[in-house]
Amino acid sequence: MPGWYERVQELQLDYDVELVGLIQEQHPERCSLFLQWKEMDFPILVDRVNEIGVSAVPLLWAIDEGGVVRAVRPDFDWIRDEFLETEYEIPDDRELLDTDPVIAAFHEGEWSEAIESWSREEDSSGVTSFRLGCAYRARYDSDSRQPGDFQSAVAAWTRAIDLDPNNYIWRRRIQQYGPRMEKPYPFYDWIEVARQEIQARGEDPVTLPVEPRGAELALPAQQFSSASDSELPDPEGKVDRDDRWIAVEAVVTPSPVVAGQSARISLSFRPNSADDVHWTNDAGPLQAVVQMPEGWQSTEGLMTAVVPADQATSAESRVLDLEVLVPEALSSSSVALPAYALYFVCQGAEGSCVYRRQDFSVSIPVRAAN
Amino acid sequence: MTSSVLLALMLPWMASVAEPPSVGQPFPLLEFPLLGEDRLTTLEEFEGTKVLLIQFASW
Repeated sequence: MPGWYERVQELQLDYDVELVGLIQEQHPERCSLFLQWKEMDFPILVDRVNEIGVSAVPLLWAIDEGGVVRAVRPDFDWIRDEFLETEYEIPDDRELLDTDPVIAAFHEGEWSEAIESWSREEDSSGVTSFRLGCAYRARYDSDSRQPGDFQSAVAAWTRAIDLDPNNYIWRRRIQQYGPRMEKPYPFYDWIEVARQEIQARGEDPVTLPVEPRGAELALPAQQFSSASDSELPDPEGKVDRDDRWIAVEAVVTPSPVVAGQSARISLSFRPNSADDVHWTNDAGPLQAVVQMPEGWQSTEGLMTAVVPADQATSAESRVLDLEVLVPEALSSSSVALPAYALYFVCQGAEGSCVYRRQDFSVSIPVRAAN
Repeated sequence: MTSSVLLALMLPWMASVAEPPSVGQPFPLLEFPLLGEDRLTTLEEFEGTKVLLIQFASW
């Protein structure tokens, strides 16, 4: 794309033509970082819910001075020799569409209102299901996150893809957060490179409100194996249990997963802010394990969360990711994988700090292979 | 003209209907957030100027 950008810039020296971007990404700020990295500067319209209704990108539209589409995917010679050399008629007035009130609410960050409306309006087209997934994931990334939001997003996107398997924009959401095996290539491994190159230029990289992680990043090829219980901490379950300080949420993508295929599990651990709970980082990291039943395999055994550098305490949500390989012979069912986490937490500025264990399970809906 | 043909002609103009415009049709004036700015805008902002609209992704 940067090469294409330079060619448009050359045209702009001789012609009155504007370059405008339109993106459908769930996390649009990543596009800001991309533009900064590539030293590109043009206005970008954000269409997270794919209101315009395309099924694939990239896509180029040539739109005349009256707002009429003159070509879709034109070649560069046509743009220069015909489109930019032609004077098109400008209509007296154009109709500004009334914004869909639910999409307007989405644009305003009123996620719950959008979720409520789109939940009621889901239909056989898949369009509303896709938008519902976008709203759930947006609320998950916000301060108003509700338990189950991310899993609900995955479920809604899965319904959309089931209804229209050919929509590449919709499928990307599942691929983005889903298992590595379903990815055509790494989606966001460019971000770290971009930051280093931007900093080397003496600039501050655009801040991302939602960091890419786990499934969104390139990592060495995943190896599945059966975890060994003998290597795990607290094998006899003697550590006191926590049932109120840390909220655990597991998200499975895709859901359901077909027997014989893999699914990605994202575990989040969120301190209870109402009780002023925080991590005590100098005591030790959060660890967690999802145990595999007979015939199941996992990419991870005991997992350890990253601790923020130079912070004795912190209260951020911590996320751990793994992938599991479902046995081929499994029939349609829901399988509960036993799991537990161990962590050091404190309550209040002067409150006591404790080491706690939390047992939980990860429910994997499985669909039998055909 | 049948009602189904009328509906097909109207589809690109209806807000929230996920149907992209075809060649020869106006690009719908839908309001979108402008990346990096706290405001919405439409392609009307560029009326009177030819626009190359690139749909892409950073992934």
